[in-house]
Amino acid sequence: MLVALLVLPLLGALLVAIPGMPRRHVILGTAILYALLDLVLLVRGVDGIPSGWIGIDAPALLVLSATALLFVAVAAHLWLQWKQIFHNKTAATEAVFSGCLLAFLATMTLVIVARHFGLLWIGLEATTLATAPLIYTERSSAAVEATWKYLIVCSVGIALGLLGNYVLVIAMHGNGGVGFRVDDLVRQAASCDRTWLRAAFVFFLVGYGTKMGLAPMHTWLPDAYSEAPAPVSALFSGALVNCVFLALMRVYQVMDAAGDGEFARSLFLILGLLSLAMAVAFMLRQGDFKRLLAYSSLEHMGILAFGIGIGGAALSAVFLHVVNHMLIKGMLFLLAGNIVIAFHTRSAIRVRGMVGKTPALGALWLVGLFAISGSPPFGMFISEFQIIQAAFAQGRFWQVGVFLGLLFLVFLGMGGVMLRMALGESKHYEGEERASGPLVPSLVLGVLALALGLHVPDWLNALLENAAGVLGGGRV
Amino acid sequence: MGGNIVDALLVGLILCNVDLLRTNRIAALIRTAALQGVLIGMILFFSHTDGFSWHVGLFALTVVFLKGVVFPFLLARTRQGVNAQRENNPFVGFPMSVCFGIAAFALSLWIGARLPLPGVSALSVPVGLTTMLTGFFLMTSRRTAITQAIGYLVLENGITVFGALAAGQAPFVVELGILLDVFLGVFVMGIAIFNINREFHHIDADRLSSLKD
Repeated sequence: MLVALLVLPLLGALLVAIPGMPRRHVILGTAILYALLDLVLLVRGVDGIPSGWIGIDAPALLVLSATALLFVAVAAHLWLQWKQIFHNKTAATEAVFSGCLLAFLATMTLVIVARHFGLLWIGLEATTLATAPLIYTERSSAAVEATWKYLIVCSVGIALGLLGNYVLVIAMHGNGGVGFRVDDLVRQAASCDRTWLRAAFVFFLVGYGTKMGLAPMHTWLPDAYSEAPAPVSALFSGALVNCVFLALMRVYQVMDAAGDGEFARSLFLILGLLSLAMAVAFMLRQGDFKRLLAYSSLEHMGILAFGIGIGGAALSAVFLHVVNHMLIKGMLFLLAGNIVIAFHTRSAIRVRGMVGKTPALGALWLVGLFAISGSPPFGMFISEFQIIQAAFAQGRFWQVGVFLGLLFLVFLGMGGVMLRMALGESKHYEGEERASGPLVPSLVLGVLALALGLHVPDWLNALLENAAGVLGGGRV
Repeated sequence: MGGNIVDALLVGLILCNVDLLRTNRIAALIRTAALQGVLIGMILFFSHTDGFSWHVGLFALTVVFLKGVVFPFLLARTRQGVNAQRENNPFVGFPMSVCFGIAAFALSLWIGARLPLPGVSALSVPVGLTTMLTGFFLMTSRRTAITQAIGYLVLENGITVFGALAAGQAPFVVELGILLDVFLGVFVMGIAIFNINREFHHIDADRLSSLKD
């Protein structure tokens, strides 16, 4: 079953290499089949699936389902907008794009289902390699620059992750020939060398944190997100970060089992607040709306790290936030893609008066703004609120104060830019209405985000609790 | 006896690092990085004093082949393709770079004293750290994109020294997968460099700075 999830996108990637193949159909078909496989897993539950080098537990199932859902939405969006995106590009570009997109899905799946730390690393490095060509799709000089930065920074990050793996082995050395799967590591964790284990954790945090986009290793993020085609950015921000987050969670699992959870949590807390602060710094007066969304992703990765730093009761909220962020950020990036095609610019200054020119798009853009800022009735409000609640329960008042202050500043920054785009007076584009492009996939994501805000279904609640339990959540 | 050989090889690594920081000819950089790779393969082979194992031997051989032959070949091809001869005007001058290397080694010795590891040469951790720092330094203080790629390889070399300490623990498949990933990484970087050159007609990474806030 899990092998099928891995093989399916790879087969798709091979298919699209054939010239003359209707690539958008293959992508959409693969996405739907993948989602169906995931649905089977959701219904069946994760108990009873043998866990060897690959396996699936509650956190993995959550991330897998989020990835599957987002991929279907993105594939549908691509299917509807294929001609506009590729009309001015060569067949080779289209082939590379399609192949890498499906390879991207396969490598993300590998990261999700890997239980062996070495395999996990291989998957993460593979995602970097599969996605670099995607950033380069537009073939502009800016795209080259973004791709190079991405390759260099993320490769260094993943290399540090490799060092973390080696140092982890050294830490476990005393136990002689310990297995390297999550389950074995967790079992052996208490009896390992503490200094080396902490060193390993730091390398993992810095290394994998680079890939997730935590400050101060986030420098590749705004460039890559803004130069890549919007659907790709949606996947980066809504799916890839979740997979890297899962990898970091595996490391945290081991640290927690070793009794060093507090050390790990304090580091997460610091990086989380730092990421939030960086996001604020660059979001105010941001001139490019895709970069704005990229910094928003930095903000939300900060929120996730902050939530882990709080630990305990906040953990299930963190997983809920993962789902919410995927839905809303996915929607916003797809909308950004529509805006780029409708207005031919990425500049937030040149786009004005969207509610007049492209009413549906403008309305959804505003909805997205409120959703991503954590306002009720959208789901993000609930996850952020629960994290704050847990932090208060632990008496971390000044951290919560900083957290809330930064969130407010983010809302000011984003709101300023996005409101002006939707409502402002237009100096450049007069008169006529423009085509919004396909809005249904974004709309569906938005509706789901709203639904989650109104009511979290029981099965999802159970899955969230389960996931938090795997990480030692619930214990305060 | 194995310990003495490993020590000698580790010293060889340090000398390679100094050479990397000192030279400005890109072809020479590639050759030294290749030599470093071979030395690391040999360290891998000799650092297992508890009997020879096919697993470790095969891994060492693969490392020597990849780091000593394949990666340098890929980089040399890229270098010829973009016709890059010298590293001109680095951010940090070459004599200063060597000073940095010495300082990095001193720092690594200090850190190494705090991360004790019985049963292996006392030089292993410091040399590994120094090589990593050298790689980082090359990536950040040099202008051309191809030197950044070489710096990445040197960083990987440093990390592999730690791998030598951990070798034999993971099944060969995993180690093979790791090497394969690094190979693909270098390959993709080479392609990226070609494209940078084609787009900008230079490969000065510091001039890739139009994307900024």
